Amino acid sequence: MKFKDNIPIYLQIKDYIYQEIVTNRLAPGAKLPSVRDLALDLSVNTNTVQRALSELGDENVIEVQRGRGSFVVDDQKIVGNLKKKLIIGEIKVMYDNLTKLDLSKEEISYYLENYLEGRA
Amino acid sequence: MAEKILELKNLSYKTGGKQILQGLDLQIDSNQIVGLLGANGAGKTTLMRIITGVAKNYKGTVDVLGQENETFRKENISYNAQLVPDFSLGTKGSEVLRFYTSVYPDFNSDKFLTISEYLDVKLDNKLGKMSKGEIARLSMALVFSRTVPLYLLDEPFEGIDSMTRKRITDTIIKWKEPDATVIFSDHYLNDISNLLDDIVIIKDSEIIEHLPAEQIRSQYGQTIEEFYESKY
Repeated sequence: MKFKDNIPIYLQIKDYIYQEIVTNRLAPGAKLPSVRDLALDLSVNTNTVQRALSELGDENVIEVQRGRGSFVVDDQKIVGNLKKKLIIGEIKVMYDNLTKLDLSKEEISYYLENYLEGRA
Repeated sequence: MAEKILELKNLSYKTGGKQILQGLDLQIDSNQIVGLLGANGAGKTTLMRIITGVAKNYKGTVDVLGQENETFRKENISYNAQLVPDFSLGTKGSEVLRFYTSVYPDFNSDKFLTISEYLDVKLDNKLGKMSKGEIARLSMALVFSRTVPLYLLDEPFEGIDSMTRKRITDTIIKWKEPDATVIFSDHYLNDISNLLDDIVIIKDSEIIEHLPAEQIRSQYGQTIEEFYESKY
């Protein structure tokens, strides 16, 4: 896992865990690796991992159980919402960039459809 | 709970008529990994030597866990630069281990053997036959095998090739005691910046910056390296 060094690392760790959850590599109810193991996997400071996990806990994406570790919340609805949120976020970035090029709504959908067909 | 582990107040140091450090104020909490950055000759090594009690005759105060007493500081700090140099070149790694076990009551020899193996240190080798990198790896194993609240690593990556750098950083993540603080100096930031809670920059005998690494990224949108270079 390679992090960008000019964006807070804890935010990138959160993004990484979101991805793991949305792609089901971390299934609902699954136990996350320990803070130290995550820190080793990602080559980052344990405090940074701790901060990411505690925010994910505040967002109810994971459940931090004292002394037992962290678990992905066992709730398909929350996971579904998370997926939706990530998709909308990505589309928003694309939309903002394309409107900077003065593209109309129709043009955006035209190019997007063409692109998707080309990829298929 | 965060606890103040190191406090410098108005610390100055002069040697041979030359001002090395001037009016340093610094507070570091427990459970932190701190990067001490600065050009060669900026005073990083001198500062570490003062904190551990090797360099004396400073002005100002140096408190470790609220105490300035030199013996107390030595007991509570594990410092890499003074580990190996005192042994003769014919000393084997295993003899160094025996020495440490007898001198430091907090020395954990099981931990030492585990870290040595992880860092591929051959304890049968004599110090004189070891490369600079192997000495650095041996020092790393020695320094982390003591159980203390404060670890000072002066240029722990010196002589270490880029492949082994990751092993060294992993050693810090893996074997740092949970509440301990590590302060290390380096002048090459690649692949260590993700490890740091705080950075402290020394320039022209003074501390010119002390702030969280994440703040540099969020507030300035800069990499630690860009930020550091912008200060020099």
